[in-house]
Amino acid sequence: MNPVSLCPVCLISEPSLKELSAHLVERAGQSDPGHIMWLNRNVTSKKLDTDGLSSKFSEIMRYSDLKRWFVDIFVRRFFGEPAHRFIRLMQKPTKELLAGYAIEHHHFLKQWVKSCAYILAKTDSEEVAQYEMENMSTEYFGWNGLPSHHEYLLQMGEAAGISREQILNSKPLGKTEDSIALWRKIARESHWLLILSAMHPLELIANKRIRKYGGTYGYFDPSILSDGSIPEAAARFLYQGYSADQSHSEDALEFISRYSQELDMVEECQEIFLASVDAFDLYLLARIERGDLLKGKL
Amino acid sequence: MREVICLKVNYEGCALCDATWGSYYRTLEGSKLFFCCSICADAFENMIRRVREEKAWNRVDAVEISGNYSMGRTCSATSGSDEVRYFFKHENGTITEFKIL
Ligand SMILES: [Zn+2]
Ligand SMILES: [Zn+2]
Repeated sequence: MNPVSLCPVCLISEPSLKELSAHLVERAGQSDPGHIMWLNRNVTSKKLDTDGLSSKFSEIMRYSDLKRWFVDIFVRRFFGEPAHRFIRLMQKPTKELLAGYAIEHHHFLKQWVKSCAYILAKTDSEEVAQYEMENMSTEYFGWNGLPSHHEYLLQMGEAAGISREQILNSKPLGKTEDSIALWRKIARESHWLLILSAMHPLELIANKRIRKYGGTYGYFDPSILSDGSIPEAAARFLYQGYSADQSHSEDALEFISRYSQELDMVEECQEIFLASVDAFDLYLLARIERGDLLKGKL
Repeated sequence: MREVICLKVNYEGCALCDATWGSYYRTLEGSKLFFCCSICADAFENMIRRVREEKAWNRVDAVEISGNYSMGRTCSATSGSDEVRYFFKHENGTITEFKIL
């Protein structure tokens, strides 16, 4: 299989980064909102020609340690200065924000296990299959006699003032729906390694070492776990992610690094991750929006 | 003599977001304005309409915008000697939040 370049907006493949840049310049020239917004957010808002964009793009893609490249892109996007608004609000979250988190994340998790299941169905790697089965269990079904993260999430929502029926019967906000649409498309259409590269590095969000990796903040201020400022069930949910997602995300980076080189898919894995990071950014805004809609109602 | 109508904006690129990608034009308040895409043009047009409604102005002479999509935008607009400062957010071009400051 020859290496290809994937458009981080519409996911079409081009033979090289140069041709991918030409595609982006062409779609932007036609005023396509999706391609322009992606360029604005990820490369530059100043128009470039194909050569100019191609050289800027190669700079973004350059790495000496591939695992670290994923971490750096993620940390810069969500924990850089200024950090993503959701991260700033999570330092001292309100009950509305936690309730908004619970509702939107319920929809995220439903897609999450499906994406894991697609990886499981498509891969022939025993270790990856094992990893996904364990992941689906801890996230959605429970593992080793412990409740699933999904169950902890519902309990956080209840403690913040919304019933589990409200969460289970809710419809996702438009931003969540748009983000899920991308992950669903990737899950259905892409190679298992691309699905893995799109999904699992997102678990870096709750990684304990974010500050060591250069983040201005962690996912939340750890003192909220014990200072009584959030309900106990919320602290329990946040602690689960905090302790477990660390190993998940870093094991995934290990798989991506190893298999992408073996299968000659490094660049595609990077690009699909860039697409996913953009969707994740939008999805985090949905958690805030839902929290705002709940103001005065809890 | 005909009065020259011209809406002044503070960006050289897209009148809403300042990006220079794209090639979308829309005539608003008598001026042909450059936008990167139709979503920015919709947001800008809806924002101007809202300001005119709130202030009961029959025209807007100038708009100054700062901010972005996720933080929202803080602006000032003038009509003759009248001025207003406001904050707004949009979703796909539709105004979702609007506050006079
Ligand atoms: Zn594309
Ligand atoms: Zn624009």
